[in-house]
Amino acid sequence: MHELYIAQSILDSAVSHCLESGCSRIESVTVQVGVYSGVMSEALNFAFDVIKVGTIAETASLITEKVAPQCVCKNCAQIFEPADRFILICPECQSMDVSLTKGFELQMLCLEAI
Amino acid sequence: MNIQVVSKILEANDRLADSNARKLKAAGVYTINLMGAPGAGKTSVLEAVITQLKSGGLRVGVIEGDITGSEDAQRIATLNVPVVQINTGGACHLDANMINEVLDSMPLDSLDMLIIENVGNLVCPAEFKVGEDIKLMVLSVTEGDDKPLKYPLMFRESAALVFNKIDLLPYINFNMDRAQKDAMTIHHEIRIFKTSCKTRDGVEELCAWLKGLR
Ligand SMILES: Nc1nc2c(ncn2[C@@H]2O[C@H](COP(=O)(O)OP(=O)(O)O)[C@@H](O)[C@H]2O)c(=O)[nH]1
Ligand SMILES: [Mg+2]
Ligand SMILES: [Zn+2]
Repeated sequence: MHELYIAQSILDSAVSHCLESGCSRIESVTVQVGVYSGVMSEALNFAFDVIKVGTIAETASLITEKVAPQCVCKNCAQIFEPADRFILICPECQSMDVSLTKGFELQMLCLEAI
Repeated sequence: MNIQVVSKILEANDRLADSNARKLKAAGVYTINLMGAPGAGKTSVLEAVITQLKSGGLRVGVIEGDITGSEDAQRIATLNVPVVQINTGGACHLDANMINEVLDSMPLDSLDMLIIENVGNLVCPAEFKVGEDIKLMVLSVTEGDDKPLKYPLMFRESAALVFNKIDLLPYINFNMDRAQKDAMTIHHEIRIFKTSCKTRDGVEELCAWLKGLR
């Protein structure tokens, strides 16, 4: 719902990292977006394309890496990706006592700049 | 050139939230970010606990966040506690900057606890820290037992979950075991309370826990 705000935060941070490194143009920015982060990649890309105009990231592409959910079984320690996000069952021992360990990420990884 | 960054995207907000948190801590105020869908009963739960916390000697203040209007702040003001209304003017959540702007209008030195009622929304408030010690979430049973897995982030971030409107359980299909199990899958240590603001069931337990937080 607030992808525009998030896109602006990404742009601001990318611009300052670019200038700090002595570069003057951003070619791409890579971010990680967990499937449970509440952020839609499509909306984020759309917002980024709107706000980058007139900045040193004007021609930059926003690369969003989706992070799939990951569970850890508390019974047998098996690490697995749930087949269905509404049924979290260990494929090894069928236990339903599991915890979600990945899928909540929302972070910037790196940028390409010249 | 490839520049490695690895930073949280909402870092600017996080930094401001940390500064709010320092200010609140310095004044000895324990802060709770109260979240939940519109109509879940956030204001009702607040009303129910404030009366009891006050009579136990705890000095509570409230910040009300809504898109527009001041109805909730008016409801709280009748309980004779300091309250400030924030209107986000369309934004779906409170952020650290909005809280920063009103903190000085709260009598922090004469408060023990500050409760911030966030904008009614199950998604966005969970992402934006405002300077709280903990997040507390209200889910009314009429919203359905599938909500933990549909909106996992909020359950993940909340220290405690209040299942509200339990007086309505006989009239609806709400599988409490399922909802509770799913919430604990997402957040193993989440504290669970079950309340009715109508019958006041469970209010005592919630208050006891709130008092013990500071
Ligand atoms: N039956 C019942 N109704 C409730 C309960 N708690 C709140 N309500 C009603 O739910 C509606 C929304 O409550 P409110 O506190 O304004 O929700 P908020 O939007 O989350 O702040 C109001 O009409 C309340 O009277 C409850 O425990 N039981
Ligand atoms: Mg309310
Ligand atoms: Zn297992």
